[in-house]
Amino acid sequence: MSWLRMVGARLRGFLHAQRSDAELEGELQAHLEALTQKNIGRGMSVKEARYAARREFGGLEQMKESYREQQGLPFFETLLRDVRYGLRTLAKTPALSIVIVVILALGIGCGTALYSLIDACLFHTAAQTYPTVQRWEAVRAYLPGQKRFVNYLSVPEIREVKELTELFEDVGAIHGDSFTLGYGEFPERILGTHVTASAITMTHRKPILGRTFRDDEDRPGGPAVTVLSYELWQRKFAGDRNILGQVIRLNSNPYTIIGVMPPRFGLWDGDLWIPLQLNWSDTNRGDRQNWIIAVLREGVTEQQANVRLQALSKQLEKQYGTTLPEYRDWNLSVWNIEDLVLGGVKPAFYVLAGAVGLLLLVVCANVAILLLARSTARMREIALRAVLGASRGRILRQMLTESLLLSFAGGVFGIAIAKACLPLLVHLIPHLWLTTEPELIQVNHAALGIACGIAGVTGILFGLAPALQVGRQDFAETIREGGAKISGERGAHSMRSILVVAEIALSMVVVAGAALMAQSYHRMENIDLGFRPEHVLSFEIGLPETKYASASQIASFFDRSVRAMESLPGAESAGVASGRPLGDRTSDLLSRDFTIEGRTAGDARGPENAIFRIVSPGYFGSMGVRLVQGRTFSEQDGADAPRTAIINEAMARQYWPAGDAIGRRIRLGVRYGRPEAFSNLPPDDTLATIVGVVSDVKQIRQIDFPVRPELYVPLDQQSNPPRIMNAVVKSRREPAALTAAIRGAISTIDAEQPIYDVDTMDQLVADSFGPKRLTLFLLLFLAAVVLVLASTGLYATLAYSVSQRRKEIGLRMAVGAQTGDIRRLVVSQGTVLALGGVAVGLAGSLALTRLMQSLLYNVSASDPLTLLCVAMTLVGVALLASYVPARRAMSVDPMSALRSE
Amino acid sequence: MAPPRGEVLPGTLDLIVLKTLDVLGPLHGYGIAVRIQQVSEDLLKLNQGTLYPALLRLEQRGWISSKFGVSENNRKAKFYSLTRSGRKQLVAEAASWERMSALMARLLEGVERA
Repeated sequence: MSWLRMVGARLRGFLHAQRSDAELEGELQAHLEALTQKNIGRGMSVKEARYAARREFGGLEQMKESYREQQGLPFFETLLRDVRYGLRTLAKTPALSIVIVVILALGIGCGTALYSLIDACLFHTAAQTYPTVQRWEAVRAYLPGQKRFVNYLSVPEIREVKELTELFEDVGAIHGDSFTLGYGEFPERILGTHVTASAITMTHRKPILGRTFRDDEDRPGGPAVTVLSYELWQRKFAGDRNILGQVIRLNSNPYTIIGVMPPRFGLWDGDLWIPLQLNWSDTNRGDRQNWIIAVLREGVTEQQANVRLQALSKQLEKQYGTTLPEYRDWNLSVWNIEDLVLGGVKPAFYVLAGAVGLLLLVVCANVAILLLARSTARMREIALRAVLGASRGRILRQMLTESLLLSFAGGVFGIAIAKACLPLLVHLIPHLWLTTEPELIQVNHAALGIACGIAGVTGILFGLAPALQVGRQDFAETIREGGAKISGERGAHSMRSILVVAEIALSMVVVAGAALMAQSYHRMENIDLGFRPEHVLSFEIGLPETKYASASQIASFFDRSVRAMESLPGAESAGVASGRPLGDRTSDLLSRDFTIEGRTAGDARGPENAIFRIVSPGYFGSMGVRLVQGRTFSEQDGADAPRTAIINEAMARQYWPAGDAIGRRIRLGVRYGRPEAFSNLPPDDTLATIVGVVSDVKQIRQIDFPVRPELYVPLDQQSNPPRIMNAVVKSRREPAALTAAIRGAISTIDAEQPIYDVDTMDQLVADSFGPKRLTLFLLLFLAAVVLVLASTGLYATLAYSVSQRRKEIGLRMAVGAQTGDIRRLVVSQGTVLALGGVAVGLAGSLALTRLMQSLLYNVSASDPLTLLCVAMTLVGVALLASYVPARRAMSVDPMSALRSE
Repeated sequence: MAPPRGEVLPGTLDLIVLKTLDVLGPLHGYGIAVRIQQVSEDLLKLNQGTLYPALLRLEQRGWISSKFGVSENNRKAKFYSLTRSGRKQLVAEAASWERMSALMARLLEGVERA
């Protein structure tokens, strides 16, 4: 406890230093007075007495000093002195100090803001939305013949995977669906997900209200219960905590609410979940409607699981390969769900995060250059202090204080900039591009800390450099030379050159990355989408099963709505299709196996497979799909007419490379994907004749993905048409203005029927460019910041060098050098540095941009033209940065420069 | 010839001050200095100024306390007095000093004889 009292007393002393100083003074004077009196009493003269008293008392000032040290907090007092002195020194070169602080602040602020945005948009939110539990895997099949993965599997297959208990703790099945939610006045289309009881518990997320499904609810004929998402609960039920037990209608069937999940629980992107109620005794292997999700046992690696799954695949191939051609050479394997969810965004994330890292490095190099320049200029002062008796530790401490002051100021402003910059960035970027809710984008404190730390360490290291040289130099020499020629200068000079070269090299990498990305984006923007999105409105209609039970009811509804829409004023044409282009996910697409008449069913490559779309005749014209060969569907392709089909160019190229596809006949087989849209599509034995070839329409949102073979069949010829269709309307004017009229037209056919997902195709195209555009935008921003920083560094180095060489330049001019020679002198120094940086940067770019190849569309990561342009840009910027100091050198007055020392 | 004046042994000044205050009661700095000089019969070479940091140290540890009073020659002066924990400290330190000096005496016996 006594140390505590000690600290308390010292703190009091520290705080009341003024008062107790006066007290002490009084006490001491009294003491000396008494001593003097005593001495006078002994017969001394007043003067003698006073002198003797002083001698007896001892060193007065030394005593006061030790008293003060004893009394206050000497460390802090020195610190305060150092800080005051440091601030004064920094203020002596305000421009340099401000530039250093600004660069630090910009680096820390922009870097952190960008990183936070990247992290929130690409990574963090995705991870938060999709619970990504370790060892959580999907099981999918690879069909080598078609070079594609099949994500949907049949009940017998799920059962067989479930039996591999040595691999998996738990195996569940899941598939996405959409429903018409009947609650309140207007029906609404929502997304729902069918899950086995264990699928939610696998994620280790607990409901915030109620419970999730029990095993006895997950049986055929089990109770109709549902768990809501937090978002639906808020939106539709206003967060009512008494919601449990209430009944909602999904596709007109009553479901009891039993639970609510926490916010942003996005298991397969649903508004709600219902039990899958799988019939485990189903034996139909061709009916593949569900994803398999499973949790690996502790200690089982993915490799081990894949080896075992391969054995299972071989066994199934042997057993069923003859009757089910898709089993030929197929291979089951696990797919980590984190990779599944984040796989698409990881490359962009790493590239952007890497670019932020490079930005920070450039900032550090820049600050180092400036600090080195600053401190070499102070060598003389340091030497003087050392000569006057300052210990090395004391000088180090002073320098450290100054560096810390700069770093601290940089950090504080950096934090402020990060906080201010992030909302600004979020505001600047169209929200359509953001992959997350803007309010979820917060300053990432870990990143902020790391950025501040790195900047601080740089400041300390390079601020201390001159002080560390103190011990190694001849002070007298330094002072005599006037600080112009100091032993440390040569070292500092080459150090600065190295830093400038490094800085230019680093910025070259970032700029090259951004340029490649811009190139790729440009090529992607000019991509042929295969359709014309201008003036096209599209929306979805989902007919309830209860009301539209028969095929003829469905067909008649769509037929009538197409006519109603076509006759709207402003509408040019209309059509419906079982899916629109630029779909959300590959898994949402329906595909079908097929066989070609006259060719062996499923040769060595396994079954043929193509994306499958059911369309009305008006679809092609409304969507602007180009006809390449033959004809599109028309009224003549009715229910009783011979079956017809239209294929895309990719399919024509693959199966009829000679261009003779028209007139060939195909037979449709097993279907895959999106079960709810096509509840019953049995293999069809009827042959369909190919009547036309159309352009390759981009099937999914990843525009850079190649288009797969696709076949279209007419809606009228379907014995079991889908209940969910996408309508497309081509308008003469701004298509969104038609929305109200369309709603009205549909309601004249069925007043209760809602329409959903109303989008213009232009919007969908813009959407699908979103993440790429965001990546590009951020990279360009980073490149610009980095470029500015690098040129500042080069400028600072050259400017400093010019100021140090004033005398030399003056001499040169005095003996006849022209201003042009002087300019050349400085600019050539800059050019050498720039060329060195660009050379290193080129090597670095070639090595590093390869990592972003997966982000690039139709551009090689080592595209020579792009790299050349970037190199030239950098050299140009470098020349510009050298020109200003060159001008200053040229304006040196030889007489004053020579006289100035 | 006068015997050589001894330096104050490190750490002993505190004990000396405590003892002085114990014997004489509240005293100001000068008074303590005078007393020490008297008792040591000027054998101790004490820079009187060093008393003040020591007094501050003792006060910070809570062994002595100070308050202002009026000195013999009618001046305002700071009077130091022993606190309870200071008295305890004095007892403990005196005991330890006696042990130490006895030990030193025993150790040095041989030296003298040699």
